[in-house]
Amino acid sequence: MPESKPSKDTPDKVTALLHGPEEAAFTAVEAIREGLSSEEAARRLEKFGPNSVSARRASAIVELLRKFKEPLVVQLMVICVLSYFFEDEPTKKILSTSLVGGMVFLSVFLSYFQESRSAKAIAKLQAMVKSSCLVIRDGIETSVPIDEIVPGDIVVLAAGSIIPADCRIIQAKDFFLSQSALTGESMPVERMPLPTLANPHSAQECPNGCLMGSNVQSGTGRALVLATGRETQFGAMSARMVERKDATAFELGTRDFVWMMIRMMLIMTTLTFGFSAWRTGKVLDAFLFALTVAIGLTPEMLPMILAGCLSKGAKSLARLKVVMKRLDAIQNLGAMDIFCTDKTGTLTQDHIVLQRHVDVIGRDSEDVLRYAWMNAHYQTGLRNLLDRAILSRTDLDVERSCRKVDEIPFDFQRRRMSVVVDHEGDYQLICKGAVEEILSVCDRYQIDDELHTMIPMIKDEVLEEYRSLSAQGFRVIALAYRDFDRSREVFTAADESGLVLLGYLAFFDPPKETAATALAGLRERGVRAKILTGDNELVSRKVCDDVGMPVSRVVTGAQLAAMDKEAFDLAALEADILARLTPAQKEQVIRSLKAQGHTVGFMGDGINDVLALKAADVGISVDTAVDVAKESADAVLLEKSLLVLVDGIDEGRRIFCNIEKYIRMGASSNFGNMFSVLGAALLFPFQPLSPILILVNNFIYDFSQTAIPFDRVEDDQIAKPRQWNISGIRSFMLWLGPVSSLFDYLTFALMWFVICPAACGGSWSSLDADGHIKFVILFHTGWFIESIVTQTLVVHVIRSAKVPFFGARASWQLSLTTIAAVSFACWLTFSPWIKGLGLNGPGLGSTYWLALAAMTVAYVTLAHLIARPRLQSA
Amino acid sequence: MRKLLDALQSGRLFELTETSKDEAFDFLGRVLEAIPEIPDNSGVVEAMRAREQSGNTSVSPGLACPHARVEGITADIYCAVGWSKDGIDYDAPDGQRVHLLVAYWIPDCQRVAFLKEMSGLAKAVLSTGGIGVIRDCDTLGEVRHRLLDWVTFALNEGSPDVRARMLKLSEKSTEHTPPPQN
Repeated sequence: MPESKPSKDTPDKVTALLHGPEEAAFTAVEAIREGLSSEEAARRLEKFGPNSVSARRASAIVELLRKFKEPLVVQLMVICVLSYFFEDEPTKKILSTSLVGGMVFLSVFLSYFQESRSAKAIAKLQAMVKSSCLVIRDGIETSVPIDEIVPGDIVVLAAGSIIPADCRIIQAKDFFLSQSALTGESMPVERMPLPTLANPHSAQECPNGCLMGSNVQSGTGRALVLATGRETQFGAMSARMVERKDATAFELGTRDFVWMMIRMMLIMTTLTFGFSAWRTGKVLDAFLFALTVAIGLTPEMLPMILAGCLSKGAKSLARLKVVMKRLDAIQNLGAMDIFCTDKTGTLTQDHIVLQRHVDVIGRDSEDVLRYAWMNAHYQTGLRNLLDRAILSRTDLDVERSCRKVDEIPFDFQRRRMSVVVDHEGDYQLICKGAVEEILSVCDRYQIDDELHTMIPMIKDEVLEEYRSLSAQGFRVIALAYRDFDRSREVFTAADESGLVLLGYLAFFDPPKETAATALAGLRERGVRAKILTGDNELVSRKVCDDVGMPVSRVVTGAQLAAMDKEAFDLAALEADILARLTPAQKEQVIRSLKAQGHTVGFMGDGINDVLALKAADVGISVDTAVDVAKESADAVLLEKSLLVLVDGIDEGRRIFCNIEKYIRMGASSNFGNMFSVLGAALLFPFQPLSPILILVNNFIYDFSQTAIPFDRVEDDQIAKPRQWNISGIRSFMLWLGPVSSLFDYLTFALMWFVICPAACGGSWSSLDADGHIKFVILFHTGWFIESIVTQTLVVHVIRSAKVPFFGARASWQLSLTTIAAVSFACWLTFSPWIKGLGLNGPGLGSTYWLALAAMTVAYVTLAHLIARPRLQSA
Repeated sequence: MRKLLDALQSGRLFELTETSKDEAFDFLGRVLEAIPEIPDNSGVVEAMRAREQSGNTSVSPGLACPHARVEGITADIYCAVGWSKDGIDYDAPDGQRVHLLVAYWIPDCQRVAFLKEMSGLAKAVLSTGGIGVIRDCDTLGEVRHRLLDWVTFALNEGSPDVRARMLKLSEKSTEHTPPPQN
């Protein structure tokens, strides 16, 4: 496994301290057996830093500065600087620079504040999952947060403790560790305070080493802390694992869209500059005009809208106890069409229960439960999950009539263990263990209360029950016993012979209560679930059966390893269960699905899932996961319920719906406007809108969009995965843009032929210079208003396939901002205070307002008819 | 061993003239299918072969018990016996030819009875000198006598080996103190 390789430097240091005599380790970390004082611990905490492997969050200034790197913001800043230097008129220079600066401010600061607010909410939730550990400070056992452990501390460990740092055991009693988070090996290992004699390859092999990321399965012990935080093996591993993920589907989609808009902006700006310079003969004016056209085409509010929508989603999910560690993962949650999950601890409870206790032919047997209980009760070695499951099933009254005589402990060669019990004058050896190992020492079997001779053919028959239980996904062990007379007091492994096979115990890790409902919810939403697990296919199939997940194809890791790329891709796509996978294979499966055009989510909780969590478009972990898995995930579920996943998907889709609204508007409406500008630059001997008015227009329009994150989304819009569809956006732009432009040209015609000549006393050619100025101001005013009205109201058309205002209503926030934007634009043309803008509302006359009303209704109707099929197919 | 006794009493003991395992299965399978209580077309031979594929059914040197398990039928166990003087090449793990085939048709609900029958038969064979007594027979009548000896042994003293004496413990009772009465 790639993740189990230690880094070159750090493990050497820890391994060296595990290798030598105990006193040398104490000297090396300047520790004493009575533990550190609080003052010394504080000093060391200052020196070595917190005992955490988490990546540190960048400072507020760095986070803010990162926002200025967005291509759209860079573009706006360039335009801002150019307009400052090239604008001659001081008032316009200040006004235009302020307006563009205001847009940068809106875009950068609003998105920053939105993100930092949700980051605070997330940090609050993350603080709820902090762990603590017992250490000796000032000579007494004290509980301290794990991130305050320092080298030289003496930690006190017991069953269930997390090993908080890389440590050396100095005291131990029946001390067994699970290193599965580090090595993937599920069997516990015993640790004792012996010096390491041979040269070990790694600290994991040292019999006295307990490394961060392990946990205590049984026994008690004390350990000297050798290294903390990123100096530990786990920290070195984690540092590599929390490196930046690949670009997700959302990032790629946003990038594609932004570059499409920038390319379009460059073409349109160049053409506008050329036509305008040629038509008016004023190169500088044409240049400034082209710059403002560039602004008009820039979806400069995109970062703010993205941040606003995503932050709102993050806060909604935070209320559901879902920590979104990367905001853009919310959209990926909505776009996800394949959901892969590890099984244990995610779909299942990670809590083994004794499901069945049966005799050799599969009938429920109380004798089997009773004997298993006595074995588990009297054994003093490692009490594993299976023992706990047995003990939790019943509680027998043994004190009055039973006495433990001896115990033959478990070892990995025999794979069984026995206890000998004295019960009212009889000695009975009760043995449990792996089925094959138990059968190999049985010469009889029991049915009801009769004992029969075991012959090879009958072994086959009684093994059938074991096979049947295994095939149903149970983990099965066998139980046997033998009577002894009372002359014996000491028993050895050799006494485990001539046993009577009594029956089988079948264990299972049951699915979470909410797993079935959550998976059904995913199916309803068009998300296909797959199991990617290191466990065997039979157990996985049982989990699927229990949670009602249909299984049409099962593939194992060994089969995948033998496939060529084409077969691998097909298997990854078709299989519902991919079992016995290595961590690298989980990652390969996810990459294969992504390469086939799917947006893939992965939910896992172990270090073995980290590669897959990082490869997925959205990595999801649970609160009980190892830290590095949580660190690598995009989302962490703090609640046991998986239903929040479904809520998360709905939220993600709502958010993307709202983002899409802005993008559709930005793409189609801006395109239409600039198409009109380009035409007007060719048709008219003046610019159809002054640069300052284009900026004001853009500013008002941007303001109206700030409520988009709060808009409501129709249920039918979140019924299936929503992914970036650049060609769909382009189609929207190419159809809706010209429609918008058509009404612009109608306005031009109205202004050129009707309104302006009527108000100015004649056509353009018949007017003198003053008349031309009056003509241009009125022309600008007419188009300014029409442009704002149509551009702003179109959000009500493209927000849903239903009839705008009647079939589907926008949220009150969006309705308010659009009405406010339109009202403000109209007021601006009448306001006596904004003289510098060159607007003349009173001069338009009632004909204009009637025509505007008619054109608005016609535009909304036509736009709806064109947008509707595209929205339905989106 | 009562099922073997039933077979002997019902005349379901035959000499196998062929020496191949397949032919022996075909023959005994057809005999079982001819029993009126066994449903028609129940695929006895196929079921016997399927069981054999999952593990050889030789019980002790020279003796095998091929069997067909059926699910979903409530009925008794039936058995048919084939004797081969020359022995059948059975691919037994001990490498010996099989001289006696006791074929069973077992509804799933009769698994306990079958296991007891098997254990009884195995114990009788081992306790009475092994398969040699059958191998040395010259006629089917002699075989029948030897088999009846086994049945007698098993019914009188053979199976079960012994009665189990299990530890009996009760669950801890939660003792409730009655609430004080006012």
